[in-house]
Amino acid sequence: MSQLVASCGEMEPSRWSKLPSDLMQLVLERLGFADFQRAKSVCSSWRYASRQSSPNNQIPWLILFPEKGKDYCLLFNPEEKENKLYRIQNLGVNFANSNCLATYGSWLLMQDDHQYNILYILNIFTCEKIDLPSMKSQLSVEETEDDMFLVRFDNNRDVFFWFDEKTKDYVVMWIVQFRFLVYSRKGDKFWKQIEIFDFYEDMVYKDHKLYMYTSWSRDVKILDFSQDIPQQIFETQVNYDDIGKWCPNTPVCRIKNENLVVRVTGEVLRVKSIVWYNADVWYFRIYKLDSSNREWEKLDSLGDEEAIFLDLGITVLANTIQGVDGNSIYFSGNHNFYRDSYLDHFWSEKDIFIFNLGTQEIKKPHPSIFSSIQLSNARWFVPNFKQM
Amino acid sequence: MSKKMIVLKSSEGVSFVVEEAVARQSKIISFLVEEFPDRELPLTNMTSEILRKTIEYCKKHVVEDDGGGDSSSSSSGDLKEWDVKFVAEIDQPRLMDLLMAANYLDIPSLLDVTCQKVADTIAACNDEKEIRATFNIENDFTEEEVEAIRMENQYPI
Repeated sequence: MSQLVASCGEMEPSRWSKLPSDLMQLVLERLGFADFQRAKSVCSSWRYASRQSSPNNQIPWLILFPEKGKDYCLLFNPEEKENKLYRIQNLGVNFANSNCLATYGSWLLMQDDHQYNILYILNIFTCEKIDLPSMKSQLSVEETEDDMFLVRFDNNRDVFFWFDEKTKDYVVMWIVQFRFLVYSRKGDKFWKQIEIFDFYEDMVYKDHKLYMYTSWSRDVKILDFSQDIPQQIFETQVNYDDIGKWCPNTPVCRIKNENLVVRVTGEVLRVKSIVWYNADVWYFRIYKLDSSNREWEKLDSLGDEEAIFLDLGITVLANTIQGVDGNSIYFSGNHNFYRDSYLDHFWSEKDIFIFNLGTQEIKKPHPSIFSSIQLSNARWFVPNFKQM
Repeated sequence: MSKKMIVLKSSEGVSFVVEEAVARQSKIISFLVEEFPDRELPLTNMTSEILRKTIEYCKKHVVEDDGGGDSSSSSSGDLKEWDVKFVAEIDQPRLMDLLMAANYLDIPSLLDVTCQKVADTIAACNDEKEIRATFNIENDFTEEEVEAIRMENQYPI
């Protein structure tokens, strides 16, 4: 605990700069991003305190990665009128040669560009770095012909990452060959694996439970990760899916993706994205699992209070956050499972999107940013995200 | 039934007689009261002024648990309003003392409102110069650091 210094009647210069670092952190954590940046530019002791804390922001920003070989990334806060970009720099040599696969809160999951088995997670505000076990030597999936971890995981959807700021617990999960769940938790020296016995589609993680959607049986399986050995605790077989009714199997129509999303309320949603081959036209269908009759029930609207962040598998309350549209789906070009060459000219991982469920319109926000910088990747980013 | 009172002594040696329930909002005092009952508790690093302010806050926030159906106890909305007024009336130097007192005595809700007040004051400033002026802080950065900060804040392209 900080020592209380004897107080004096008159304010001497720079007394506030002597506020103990742990208390300054409490103040800094209450500041939004722009104010946080200003505060850390005030004096060296505040700047020092800022290294141990992150700004308070439930606001989704954009995190932008420059061309390869740069040790910084850029943050864009859509709420700020001036369209300011903040540069988070000196992220290390490793960062310059790595690719961001996923984010959770202020943490990024990074993979080395050349040695794909080298993985680490990094807090971009505090620069805290945690190396993950090497994938190369410590995992043997017998069916592998080649060394699968030398294959680049471009397919971001197959990786999931969760981090708890308080306990620093984390779990990183991969799906390998559609049917092996490979994971590493805090303290693990090796990657572990579970066979899924189905075709994996998507997963989300909440309260130490992994929700997994498998496309073959259209099931939701829940694995409890609070134990040493994860146990399957729930499985629902879904009886009905209206896939054929609204998306005839024509050459122009393609289901791009199916994602699970955990709502603010804890309810699980399935989001199906469809794209037309011959145009940059997107459609989304949202289903809620009705536990009484075990059917996916279609939702026509999310309501004006809620927005989905598809790449993160979460929803946020739009009515409490200025600048976030309700009844909308926020996603990025990383959300592009099939990597269709047909669609490459419409978007790439450098693009970001907002789809409005009410108007069924899609927009690419903040075009001025994207036309002016060379980027390698862009994502929605909720730095201070905490599950309720 | 008479309420149990305890005595807190400031750095100037001024004694404050406080109801135990009021003082117990401080986790430290709560602990000390149990360890050393019937003892005067010296708070050698708190001035009378700050101690008085802290007690004022604790009095307002004490939870009435005498079960007498006291309907006059403040609703949470009123209490919030009171908190806002309470910190608004405190000047900069004393705000820092109070914040540190809240931390020292371990009174989470007081620490919360004082930290929030500082954060709000920072947020009300337009730039770092204004923050320095408001808090009377010297710019002690070296030229290299100034350049590093400049790099972090890219302006519109």
